[in-house]
Amino acid sequence: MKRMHTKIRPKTGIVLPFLLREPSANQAGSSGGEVYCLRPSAVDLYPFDEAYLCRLRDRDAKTEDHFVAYFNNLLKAKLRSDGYSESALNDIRQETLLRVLKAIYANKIQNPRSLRSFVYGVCERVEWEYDRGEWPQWQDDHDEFPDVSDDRNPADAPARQAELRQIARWVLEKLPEKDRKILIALYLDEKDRDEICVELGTTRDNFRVLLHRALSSARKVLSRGASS
Amino acid sequence: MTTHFMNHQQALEQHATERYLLREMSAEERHAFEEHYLGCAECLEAVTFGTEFLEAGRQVAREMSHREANTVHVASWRERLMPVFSGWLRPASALVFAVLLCSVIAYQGLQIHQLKNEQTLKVARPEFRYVLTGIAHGAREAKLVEVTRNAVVSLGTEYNRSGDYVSYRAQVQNETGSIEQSIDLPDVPGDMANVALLPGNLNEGEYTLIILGRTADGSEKEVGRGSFVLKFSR
Repeated sequence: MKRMHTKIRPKTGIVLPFLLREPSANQAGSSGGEVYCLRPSAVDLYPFDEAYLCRLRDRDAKTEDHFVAYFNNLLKAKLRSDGYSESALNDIRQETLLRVLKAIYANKIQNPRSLRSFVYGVCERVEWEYDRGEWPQWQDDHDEFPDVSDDRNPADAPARQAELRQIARWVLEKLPEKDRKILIALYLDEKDRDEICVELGTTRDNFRVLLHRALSSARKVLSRGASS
Repeated sequence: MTTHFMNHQQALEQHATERYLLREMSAEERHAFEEHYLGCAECLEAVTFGTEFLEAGRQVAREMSHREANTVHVASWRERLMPVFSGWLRPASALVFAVLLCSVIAYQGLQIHQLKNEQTLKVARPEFRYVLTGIAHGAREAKLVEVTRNAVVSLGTEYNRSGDYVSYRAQVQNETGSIEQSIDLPDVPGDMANVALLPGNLNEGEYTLIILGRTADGSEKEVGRGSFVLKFSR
């Protein structure tokens, strides 16, 4: 069952840290002296501090946007690796962010520098509850919280996604046919890995090698695009 | 519960990012890697970029498999044969078909005769295998390859495989540096490239076998070489 997204105010200028190009004057967002820069990397090692948590407690819109975008990406990576489907992933991600915000508002974070680890800890607790079937009991009275849904993309997020799809297609088309079949089978994830190995005459080690090559190729294309 | 720790060197050596993305880690390994990458800019970026890229790849793979499913329609035997049978039953078509059939039978007889001759020649071709001294061992020494003109020569040389390259190519250059032969290598694991050569197309002299690695952007870099002196025996 999909949970309802609550929105407490209209979206303001949204600034995310995972865009390709370096920030121009109108792309960077500033909030209370803090500038959230647009970097070419997916998620950077952002130095969370007490001032950041203060801005979140003060309901600073840009800081909230940064927080949600940053941890949406991070939690997606974790939950995918933990093997959750898209809908379970969204439920767990939203519940995690809402609980973390609750802890921040209640001033319960002792060490702001370890915010990333704290979020992962909460996420693991939420995963545990989800696996035990406790998710229908999760409260839905989150009206005092910002929108933590994944659909509040910045204006150029579709362009970024289209660019990534284009690169993924290019990388796939450059591969020899057998490797392409293996990678497509991996992407689609519809078959058991051992079954793919038998069908396509490959080994599990080869999956890793292929993915490594695909990522290196994509990264090169992206860095070339960003530098030009 | 046992606690595992992972530093950056271990993460690289164990290909942790790829295994994490492919969900091939045990719960302990995953936990250790998460603890590491939450404090490591390089691994954090690799994991989140990898997730984003896998998501894009998933969409593209879906599109590609849909496209293949839509374009490849395998007709049943009934669908394929029925139009043919209905055509044969007409008198004019039957006559044309009889003439064609006779021609095909005659042509097939000729082809079989020629193939038999070629097969005899192929069997007679001697095959020689040489391993050239690779870069790691200096690559200065040119191996003497003394074979008959009709021989098949298999040349092996070491080369450095790396994740930077998406494919590899072998080139045979003569003494002046002109390219005599060029062939794409199959994607076979290991660090030995094997190239089959028909020396009858070459002149006697010194040659260099160069292995080139091709990057995703199409540029090429030398990753292996070995030299040989070709001499024909009688």
